[in-house]
Amino acid sequence: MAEIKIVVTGPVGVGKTTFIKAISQIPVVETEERSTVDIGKPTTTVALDFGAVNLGDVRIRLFGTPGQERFSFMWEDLMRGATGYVFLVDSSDPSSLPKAKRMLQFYMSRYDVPFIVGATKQDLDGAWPPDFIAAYFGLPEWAVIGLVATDEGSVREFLIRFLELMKQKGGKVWIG
Amino acid sequence: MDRLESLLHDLVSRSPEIKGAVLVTLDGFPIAYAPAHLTDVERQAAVIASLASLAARSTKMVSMGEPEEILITAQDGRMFVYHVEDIAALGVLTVKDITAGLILLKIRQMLPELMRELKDMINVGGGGI
Ligand SMILES: Nc1nc2c(ncn2[C@@H]2O[C@H](COP(=O)(O)OP(=O)(O)OP(=O)(O)O)[C@@H](O)[C@H]2O)c(=O)[nH]1
Ligand SMILES: [Mg+2]
Repeated sequence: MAEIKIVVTGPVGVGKTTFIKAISQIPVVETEERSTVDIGKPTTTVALDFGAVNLGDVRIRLFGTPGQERFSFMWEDLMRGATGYVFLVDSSDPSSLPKAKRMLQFYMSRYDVPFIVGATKQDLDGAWPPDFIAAYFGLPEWAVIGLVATDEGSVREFLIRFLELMKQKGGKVWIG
Repeated sequence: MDRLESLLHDLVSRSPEIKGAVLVTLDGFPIAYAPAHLTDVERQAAVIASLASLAARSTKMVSMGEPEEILITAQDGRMFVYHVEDIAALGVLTVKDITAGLILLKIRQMLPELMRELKDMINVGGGGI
């Protein structure tokens, strides 16, 4: 069975830990700690999340990053050896998108591996559709996919689509 | 200097082998540190919190319970990390030539006072940590 490493990243509160917990077939290694400042939820990831899932004939090892910038040293460490990365953004909070865009640009300039943007929280009222987010990020429409990170089926479909894209594009330039 | 800072200051100034100490929240913010000229405190705080969390995950996974002390021996020194109950973590930087037991003893002597100050701070501040 082929084994690949996929990093799940993106800003704080977009659903990285949720995503990995929804899909992992093994107990997830979490590093959640109580947040001492208001980030809209009680806990935050301070080191990493780890889970794994078999999809078809591929075993995907999922490494989630912390979203807060003071933990950015972990981004670098976790990206080592990654086949690709999933960049999640919160579709229900357009005000978070400028910061998300800067973070994605940092990843794109640094890592020359396949990635896909996941527009989470599509189940919430007023969520931006994926094509809006693609336009805002200046990405082709295929590079942004909507999902509900709390829903296993939705995360599964999302990852299958990412695997298909990687297969289709082979060694070709990822974007552009 | 607040009282937490003066506790750390005492620890560092009374022990020439201790180069610095940083008390951090478990989500990676500095609470207090010594000496005053310690550099890069914000980034150190985040790294110490990550270490503390990963250490706890590691020992719990193999049913060893909570970590009491994390020790990293590097080329030019040692780094100790202690959990201060479930409130904070304390990182202590020392020279290489030091016995772990001695540091642990000094930290243990200071911990009750540190805990009291921390709890006061939480109660007075109504949050913050
Ligand atoms: N309705 C809805 N809620 C979601 C979705 N994805 C995540 N959430 C919620 O949003 C919050 C996100 O939490 P996390 O998964 O901890 O976010 P994170 O990206 O890991 O955050 P950090 O580790 O702190 O950077 C949780 O309360 C989730 O239940 C989604 O697709 N729909
Ligand atoms: Mg998380």
